[in-house]
Amino acid sequence: MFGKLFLKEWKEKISLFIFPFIFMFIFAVVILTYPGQKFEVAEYLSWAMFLFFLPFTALLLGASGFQSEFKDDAWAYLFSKPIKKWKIWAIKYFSQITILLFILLIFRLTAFILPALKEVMKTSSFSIDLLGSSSVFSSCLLLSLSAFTISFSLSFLHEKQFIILFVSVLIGSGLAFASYKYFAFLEEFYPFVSGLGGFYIFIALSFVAASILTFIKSDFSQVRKRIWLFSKLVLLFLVISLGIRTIWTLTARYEHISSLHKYEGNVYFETDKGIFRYLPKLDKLERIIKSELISGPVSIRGGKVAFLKFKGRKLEGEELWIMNTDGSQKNCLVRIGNVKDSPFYDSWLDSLSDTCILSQDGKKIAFITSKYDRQINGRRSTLWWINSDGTGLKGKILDFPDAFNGDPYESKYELIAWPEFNNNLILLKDYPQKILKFNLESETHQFLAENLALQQKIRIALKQSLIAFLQWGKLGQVTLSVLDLRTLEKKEIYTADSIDRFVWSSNGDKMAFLAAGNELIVYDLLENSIKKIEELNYAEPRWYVHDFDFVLNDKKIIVSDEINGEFYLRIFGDGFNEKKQLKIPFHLEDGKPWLWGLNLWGLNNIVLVHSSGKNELWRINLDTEEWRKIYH
Amino acid sequence: MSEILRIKNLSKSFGQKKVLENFNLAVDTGKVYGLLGKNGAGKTTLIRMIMGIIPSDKGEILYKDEKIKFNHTAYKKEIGYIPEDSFFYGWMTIKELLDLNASFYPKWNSKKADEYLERFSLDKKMRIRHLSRGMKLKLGLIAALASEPELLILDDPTSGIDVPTRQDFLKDIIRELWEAGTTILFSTHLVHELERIIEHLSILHGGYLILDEDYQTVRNLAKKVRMTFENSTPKKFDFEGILKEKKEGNRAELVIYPWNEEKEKKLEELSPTHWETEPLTLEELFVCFVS
Repeated sequence: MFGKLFLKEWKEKISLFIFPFIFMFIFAVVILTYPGQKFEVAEYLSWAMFLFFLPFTALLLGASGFQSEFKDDAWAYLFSKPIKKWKIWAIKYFSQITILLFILLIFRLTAFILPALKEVMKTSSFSIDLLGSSSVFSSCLLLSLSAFTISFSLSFLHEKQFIILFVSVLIGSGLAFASYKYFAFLEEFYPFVSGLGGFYIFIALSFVAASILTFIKSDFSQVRKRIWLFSKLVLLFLVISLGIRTIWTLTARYEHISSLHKYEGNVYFETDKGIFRYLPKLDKLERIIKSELISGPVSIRGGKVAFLKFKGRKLEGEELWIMNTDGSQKNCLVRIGNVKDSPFYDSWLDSLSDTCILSQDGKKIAFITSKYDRQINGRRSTLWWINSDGTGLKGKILDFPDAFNGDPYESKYELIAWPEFNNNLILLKDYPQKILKFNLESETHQFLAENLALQQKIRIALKQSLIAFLQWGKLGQVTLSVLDLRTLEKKEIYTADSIDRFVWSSNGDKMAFLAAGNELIVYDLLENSIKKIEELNYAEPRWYVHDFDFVLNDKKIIVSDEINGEFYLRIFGDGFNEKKQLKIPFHLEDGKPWLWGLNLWGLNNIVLVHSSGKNELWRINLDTEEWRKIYH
Repeated sequence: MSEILRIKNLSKSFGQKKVLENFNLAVDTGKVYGLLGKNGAGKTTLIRMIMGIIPSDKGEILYKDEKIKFNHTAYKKEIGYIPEDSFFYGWMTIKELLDLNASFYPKWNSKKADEYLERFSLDKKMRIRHLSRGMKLKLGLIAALASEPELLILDDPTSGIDVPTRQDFLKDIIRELWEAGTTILFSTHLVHELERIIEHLSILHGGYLILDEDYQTVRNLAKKVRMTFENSTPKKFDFEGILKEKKEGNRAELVIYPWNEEKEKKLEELSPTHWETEPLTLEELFVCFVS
């Protein structure tokens, strides 16, 4: 029965296949014969095809959902058969959706054959408002399925197909506009509103539910009653959907763990519930500030935590705040964002954790803002510094002529260190990458190193007065160097094809780093020696996937690795010779932990493991080897 | 004899118009029921409610003593339904339609379908939209009969069909089914067609069932009485159950239902010079009841 009815729908609608193929033929002819500018023409035509013509075909297909029943007056035939009405509806819907998907699939496959179209599909993306940017085909799929569902849901209400078509377009676009406006309204009260795309699914489901119920319950001899029943039901379901979606939106918490910092043996992190501190000695997790509108910590030093607080209905204003590490003595230092009375109006912070830094004693804070400068038609960055009590704000435009490479947009700076012994700030400049020192008293600068090799996710590490960084060497190799900020003495430590992520021991006498993707190496500053610890099992030369840290009074190193398809924390102790491995107990949804997304923080005998894929924070006690989930 | 179908207090309105009002009917297994009514009397509405095509406003329908709700479907496996207009998918061939039909019915008899196709000279490859009205009726009949129904419901299927086809249909097929013990509910406004085949007569009028009786009993009880008086006819005939009255000079003609001895005595008291009774045809009876 299912198969026969399914097949019947295919046979009925087979003629609809002609229209898209005529368009495809015209498309091919135009592309093959149009002289010059082929890509633009192809792009224009493929957008027309995927974002208008195919969704319109879907609309047409949906609107003709029950056309044959109207045309041949076959309602009585269908309804007198021993088959549930919802099954008739469902079989029709799903068989016609397969027709639609088949048409879309053919067009998608054609994109692999026609070179011009292939190029367009590869490069183009289309942004449906509030749904985010997606590929042309994904947008086509979403539009087509939505259009089909709405028009199909209406299709048995009236025999005139063009009326269904017209009403579907009207309702579809009306609801899309109304939901956009509604979400914008919600955003006024709750800045984290998201998921309008999900709401469109709710709208489609409301139509499906109202359609099925009307189909089951209504009297097919009475058109007005049928339309009235459908209208009541769809309105009811839309209101319910709206309610559910609103409650969901306003109550859902995206508790993403981020901004993890290790400071004085504790770990600080942020979720949308606030800033948390984990005290491993007490095995205690505490929330030091409770707010949804917080970002940070952006810097922790000198017993102080700097963080940003968002202000305004649409987060148009940001405030830089400071508090003690236990959450006490919260103090707003300065307003930053696009608030007109802010001294930094029309400016932005490039990257919070990279452009804001507390001094070692926590008495000062420095940050960099950027703004668009019409005169140079590019970015203009300003370095600001202020006392922790909110006094003594000073600023300096970072327009060092000798650092300028000719491209005003590339003058991007990061704050990487604030050594304790003088008024020097250490900055990193992008393009070309250079490390420079800026003196806050004389407001002069000095370049410390250039030709830096800063690959993705590699940043300069600071411990005491030493910074470690990578520089390009010969034949594309990189060299790991250490610079003493007191003496400005630079020492080259190691050269390899690739060096990823380096971690200082807590007292700054050792540094561990990963070379060639999987060689774990320790550099001992006191002995000036290099020791290869282990060649890790999992090798990925392009990205670092292993994370590691010093533990147990810097005598051991713990590192994430893969062994026979399983994921472990491997411990190297006793002069880093002894080996031990602890199996990671948690799994991602696909059944395996993701090595790449695992980050480790060594806190003496405790190791914190953050799985970004699973969004969980775990601890393991190295003495008892006991695992426990701390957050989520 | 067990009931295959019972309808209790069924009502249906379309807007302000009441089509059926507290309608009751019992259909015994194995009998041929004639459901008569003028156009618009509510026959099709009643049948569509039985078949679950449209919902009732009030009342109950019981099939084999089980209450049927609007969305029930299991009972439809045992019912063959031939509607007034054979509304099939025009683009289908006869074979495609019968194949589709076969998928709905567990007791579908393909052999029987083929036999009927041959008997009615229908080509399987023909598209339904090319069939005449009579051919569509035959196809509808095949579709209904091949499902081996226990109850066959015909909703005025012969209207607009030429006489030979109609005769074929009535004489042969219905009689065969009746002989095979299939219960038949035949709704029509073309009354004389039913004369020879019905066992039970139900007349629907103005939304009400005004007659529901064994046909032979009705035939026996309904009489046309012709009277001749010496001078003139009485001003008023004081009888109950006069369905029709006609006077002409010293002659009078009455249709009386039910006819009985008491009424015969009353008639004799009027001292007609001559009187006689004769049975009514179904058509006459129907006209008398609905006028």
